[in-house]
Amino acid sequence: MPSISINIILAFTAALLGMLMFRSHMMSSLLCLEGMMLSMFILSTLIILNMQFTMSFIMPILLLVFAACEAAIGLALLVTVSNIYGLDHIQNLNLLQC
Amino acid sequence: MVYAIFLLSIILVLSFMSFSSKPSPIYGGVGLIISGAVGCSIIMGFGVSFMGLMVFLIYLGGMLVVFGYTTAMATEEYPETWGSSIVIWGALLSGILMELLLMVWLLEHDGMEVAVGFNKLESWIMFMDKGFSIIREDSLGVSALYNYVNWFMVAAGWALFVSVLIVIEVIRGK
Amino acid sequence: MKLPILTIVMTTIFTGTMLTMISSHWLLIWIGLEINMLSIIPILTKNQKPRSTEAATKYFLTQATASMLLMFTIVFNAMHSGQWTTTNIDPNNMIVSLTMIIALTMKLGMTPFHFWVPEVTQGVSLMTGMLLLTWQKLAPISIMMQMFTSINSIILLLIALMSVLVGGWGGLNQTQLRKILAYSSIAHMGWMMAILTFCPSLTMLNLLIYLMLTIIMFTMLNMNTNTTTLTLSNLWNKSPTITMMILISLLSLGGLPPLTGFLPKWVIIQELTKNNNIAMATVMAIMALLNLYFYMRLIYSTSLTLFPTPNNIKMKWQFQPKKRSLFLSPLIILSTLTLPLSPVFSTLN
Repeated sequence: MPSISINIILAFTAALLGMLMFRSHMMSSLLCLEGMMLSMFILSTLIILNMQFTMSFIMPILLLVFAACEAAIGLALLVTVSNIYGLDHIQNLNLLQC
Repeated sequence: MVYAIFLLSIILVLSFMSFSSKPSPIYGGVGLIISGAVGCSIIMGFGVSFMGLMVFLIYLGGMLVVFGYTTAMATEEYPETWGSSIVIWGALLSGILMELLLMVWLLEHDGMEVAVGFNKLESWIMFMDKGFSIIREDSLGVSALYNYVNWFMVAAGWALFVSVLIVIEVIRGK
Repeated sequence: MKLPILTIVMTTIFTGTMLTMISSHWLLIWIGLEINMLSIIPILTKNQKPRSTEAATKYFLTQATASMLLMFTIVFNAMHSGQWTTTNIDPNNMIVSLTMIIALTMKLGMTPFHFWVPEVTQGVSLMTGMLLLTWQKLAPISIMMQMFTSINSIILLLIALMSVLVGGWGGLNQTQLRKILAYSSIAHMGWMMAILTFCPSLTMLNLLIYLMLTIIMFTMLNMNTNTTTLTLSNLWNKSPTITMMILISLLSLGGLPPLTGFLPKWVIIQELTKNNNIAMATVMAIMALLNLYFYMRLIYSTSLTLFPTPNNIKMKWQFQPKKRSLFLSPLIILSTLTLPLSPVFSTLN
């Protein structure tokens, strides 16, 4: 595995671990989601280029489209949450805990 | 050139560390912009300039306007930087340490075998009967979305439409 | 929610699941999951309370993480094998099989990643909870069944065993009916995944019966909008027949012999024993007793005792129920009395 790919996978792992961390703003979690998308975009583009799957170049574009939908809905939920609580801290989401 | 891309990928990991250690969203957004730019230049370094343009100019450019706007809704008086909390320091330092260890391990093992696609020049040139012409793989592949796999575009367009509806529906309230 | 928007959203949920079920290319499968996940969000936030918004947020964050992890698996698998199809997952590649199972079990809500299931189900209304615990399980399970030959079975069996354990232990302390049903869903998912690598048609059988039982439970609870054990124990004034039906359905959900719910447990334990997996079958059967215990507690307060009530409430049975349910009686019959039909299911192989 070439080390550029290793670095991109490491970047994905960092964003995933940041996403799983239960602290701070919900906005930061959405940024981590975007980061995961970005690293997957780079990795898949490099792979497709490397393996010469010319027709598969639609795949990063579709990834981009659906990540845009995901980000839009995440931001809508963020706005709703911060309308309700006044803040968007993730720790505030504790109404439903057992 | 390949070494430059390798250095860029190290910068990519470091900027990922900067926003995934979860500082205040303003600084996190800066980190994401940096990582987007670096990622764009990694992609461009391999010659896929159309994709790099797509992700940086269209996606990150469009999305970060919205992100900046939404961050302004949740802004605080004393935003957390990387130095303000022991947790963020710890996450950032452990991330950087992980990257350093990986680099050391790579140097130990296979001695910077960084070349991914330097021998791929022949894919750029298509031999024809008179002379040769150049095709671009990336824009060719993306344009397949218009005729060869057009149902993908229908699905993607439908998803975008529905997500606009959903956003309005979620925000609207009673 | 206005009717045209509801129609569009429900159509999109349906389309997403169908897209996942009929496709064998990973990209389309991912797109289907994504469409499905995006369009369930307005259904979750339908009644615009803080609780439902929180539930939708939690659901969105976990599912988006899971689908990004699935994307990572797809790309990583393509990097190693050069293939984009479902059946080409390499079970010996540890990273691919591990992240694949993690992503799909996070989507399904199985044990190390199960914490969102009770909370999200508690935050939404009963009918939405039914949609969440039935329809949303179909797409990930269909992926699992498409690629069952290339799943690393040790990890999957571990996750299944942990799900059965947590589904038993977690519901013991609950009084909220939706949380109890969510834990029962976790336990049933454990049973389904335990048998997947041995005999996927039994997973299908268990899924069918689980769907019927969950739909019937939520429909009956929705008729009087019961969400806690307390309102359920006042039910004998309002609709005595429903209390009897709840008794039978809960016993069937717990898997007692003359009822339908016994069938999947029976054949799964038999199949596990045939494959020399006796310890696992024993542990799972014991843990099903824990499930049965908290169903029995519900049954005790619902239909085995007459909860003390003031006299004026006792007239409530005279009124017609406002909510009507079309499929109540055929579903009750299907979900309790079809054990004699079990030889038919042997043709599923």
